[in-house]
Amino acid sequence: MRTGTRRLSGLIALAAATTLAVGACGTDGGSDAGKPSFSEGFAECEAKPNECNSGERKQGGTIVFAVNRGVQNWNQFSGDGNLVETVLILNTVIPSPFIFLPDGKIQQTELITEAKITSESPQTIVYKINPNAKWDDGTPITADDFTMMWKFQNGKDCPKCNVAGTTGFELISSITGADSGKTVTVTYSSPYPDWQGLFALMPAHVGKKAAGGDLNTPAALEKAFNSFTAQPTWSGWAYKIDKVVKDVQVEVVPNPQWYGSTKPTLDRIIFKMITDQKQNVPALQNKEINGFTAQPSSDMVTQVKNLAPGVNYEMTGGAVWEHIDVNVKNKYLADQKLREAIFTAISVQDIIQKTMSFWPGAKMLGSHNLLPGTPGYEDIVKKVAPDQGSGNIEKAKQILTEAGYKDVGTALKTPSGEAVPELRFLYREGIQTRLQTGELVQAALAKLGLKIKIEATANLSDTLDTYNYDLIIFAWSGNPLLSSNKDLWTTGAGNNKLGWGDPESDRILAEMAKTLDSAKQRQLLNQQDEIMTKAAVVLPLFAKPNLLALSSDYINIRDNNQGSYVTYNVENWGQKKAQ
Amino acid sequence: MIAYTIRRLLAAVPILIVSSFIIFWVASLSADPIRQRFEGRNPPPPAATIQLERERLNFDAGFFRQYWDWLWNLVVHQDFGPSINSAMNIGSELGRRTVITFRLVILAMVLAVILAVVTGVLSAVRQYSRLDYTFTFLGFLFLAMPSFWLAVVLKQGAIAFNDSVEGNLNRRPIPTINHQASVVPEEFWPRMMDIALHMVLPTISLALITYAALSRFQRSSMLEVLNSDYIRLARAKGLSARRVMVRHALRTALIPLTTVTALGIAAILGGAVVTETVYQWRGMGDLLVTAVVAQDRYVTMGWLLVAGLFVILGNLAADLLYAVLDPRIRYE
Repeated sequence: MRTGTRRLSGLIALAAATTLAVGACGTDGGSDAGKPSFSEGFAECEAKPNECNSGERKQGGTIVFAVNRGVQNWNQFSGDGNLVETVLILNTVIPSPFIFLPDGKIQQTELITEAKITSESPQTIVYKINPNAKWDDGTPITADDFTMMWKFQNGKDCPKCNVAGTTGFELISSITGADSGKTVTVTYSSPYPDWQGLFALMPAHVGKKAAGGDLNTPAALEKAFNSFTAQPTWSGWAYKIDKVVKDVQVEVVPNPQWYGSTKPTLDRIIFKMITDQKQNVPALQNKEINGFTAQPSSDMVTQVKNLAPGVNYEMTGGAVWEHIDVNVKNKYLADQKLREAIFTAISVQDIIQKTMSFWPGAKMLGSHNLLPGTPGYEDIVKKVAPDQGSGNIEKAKQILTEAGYKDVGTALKTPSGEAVPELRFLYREGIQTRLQTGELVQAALAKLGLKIKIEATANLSDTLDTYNYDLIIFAWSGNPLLSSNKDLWTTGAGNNKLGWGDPESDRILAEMAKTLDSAKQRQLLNQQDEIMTKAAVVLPLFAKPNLLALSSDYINIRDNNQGSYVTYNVENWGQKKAQ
Repeated sequence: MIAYTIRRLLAAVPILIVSSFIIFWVASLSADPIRQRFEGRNPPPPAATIQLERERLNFDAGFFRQYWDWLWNLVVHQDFGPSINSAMNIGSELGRRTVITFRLVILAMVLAVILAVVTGVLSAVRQYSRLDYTFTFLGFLFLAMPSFWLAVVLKQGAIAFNDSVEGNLNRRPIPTINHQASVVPEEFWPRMMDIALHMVLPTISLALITYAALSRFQRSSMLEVLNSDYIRLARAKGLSARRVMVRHALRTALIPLTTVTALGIAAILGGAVVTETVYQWRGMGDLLVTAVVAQDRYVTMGWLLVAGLFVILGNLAADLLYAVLDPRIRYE
């Protein structure tokens, strides 16, 4: 049974959503403290994120579920098609061997009957595809589909395929099929621990037809890849697309060729495009939609709560986490003691209270690598540097004084007597909560004798790439594909925007990226986290909340912040059966 | 008049080119849409993907080259350029959305003009009466109201109305989003009714804001005409009050309103941006908002070009209507 989150493309889209998410979250922190994060229907979601809001379904019915954006490019594996909304809708038609559950655990789907590592060197995975698995035109799902997806995304066979990512696929050295294509053997040239999250399939026979019968040349592959930008007329999952009203709605109906054991009960799912998040609540109130997910603001949360009991809601920690980074290329901030003092003076609790008060579940994040609630999460900050984020000014002053800093609390000078100049705190233009955070940081650091100038940047990427900041607040998107964390923190890696690096940390990350055992991987990440936390370069703040609001008539729908989104179990969605 | 019309249209070409150049320049100063799209991705996208996108969007060419390529493709191939959404054809998107928006804008404008003429004339005829003060108050009220606020208030009002009648009707008659229902009725009349009901809120919202300014113009124009000598003469000749009002006064008083209405097309298009956002219509306003947020340069260019064209055509129509309404005016 498929009841969990999805695939790599979804995860890339999740990461891509960071920018949008933070943009959408630029509202006031508001005040709704003390109210729960879950309404009655979702009361179990905190303890049982994979099973809450479940129940018996009745046959029939339609659900109108809002999504944030229309679909222009239906190829979710392409650079510009890889958007959260596209993945969310295509979850209804695209088959994948594994999904991630809301709690971050991975689960096999009914696309396959088995997938196991048959060799660790070279890493070899053998998938046994469900003998009944087929596309909606009756064509069996086979190794050909795996091969086409690999060729599209490995960066070599189709250099002009505008793919969203090549990670993982570029490490595959061969894919072979046996048993009429129902046994697929995937061999990697070097270890890839996140292999379970890699594949999601589109039909090779459809691509082949579009390419004129050939999928072996770069030109043919490009043609096939681009043909998938059009609205899918195919399905390999529980639903199939029936109708698209451009930029207004996408309608899916049950796929009669669906081979899974859980049959859809809804007659139709309508994904309604509501591009302005503020219009979701009135639309729900007027019963024009039955549910939506969003990054909430204080107003939105209050409005949704007022719709109870006809509407249930759950607010859970999302995958997007905020943090304050220090630029160690700045010669003053290169001193670890100054960084430690800065992180000690900042009160994360104050920041949470000021900017996230509408979410009682908001807690200080204690890890740079894992999100609360996911396997292996530990509060590393509390463990190795409990003063960081505490807002303990006296302790911060003590750190500076012991390090030889002078005029602590008035006009800070280095141990050599040089005045520490004004530091620039950057945040992305238009995001009010980050400005508020900047103001809190400014006030806290003033007590150490540090002057902070708050500046907005319209181009966050440029600011980070050019290290044009002293302190900066932004967000990363947590990723269940853990090996990607290597890119964030390894010295000189593409996404390391800190200018920081540590040989031991690099070694652990390198080992983590080729460790096939997930538990061991998480252990290594926690080890690396300790080094990083002690270095005081990134102060984690909190994971941002996601809100799911849903009419109480519907069951088996729950949020999933692990990259598969709310539709991860779409075949289970249904209307509640009368008791 | 035909020669005049052609001359005016030809004169519009350099205006459009210069304005397009300025807009292109301003748009090129904004953030790089490719970087913005991929910002925050971990793992980062392949360098080849970024390069392919840059090539597709012609971002590697110099500024003047980019502008020239855009203009050349537009004029020669009627191609508005590539959107950052590779699957989008900007030309057909503009065409499709223009129809949706103009359905709203034209109806709102007609409603606004009718309201403005009626209230403006009544206000003028009964100057300083309670009725005049009421219309004046309402005019200034709607003039002062931000369009987004009015749209939201109307929406909440409709929801409250739906709540109150749902029990009796077993349905919620006034929709608040989109230009059609999620499940569109198949029969003709229910379908027409669905379309009409979806137009209620956005049309009222747009019309009230537009009407406010027009009614003030109509009132002052009517007052000026009513106090003129030729109206006094008409009355002295013994013409009926109705004939004086409709045939002589109103016809003349409509001339300034014609100009303002034509010029108001640009303003109402601006209002449509807000109205379409609140009511989730997928028209031109929504397209502009989406394009600006995504830094979609060529879509923004296309939008402004089409909007500019309509403003020019609106102005031309106003000039031509002068001649129809006032026989003394002749265009050489």
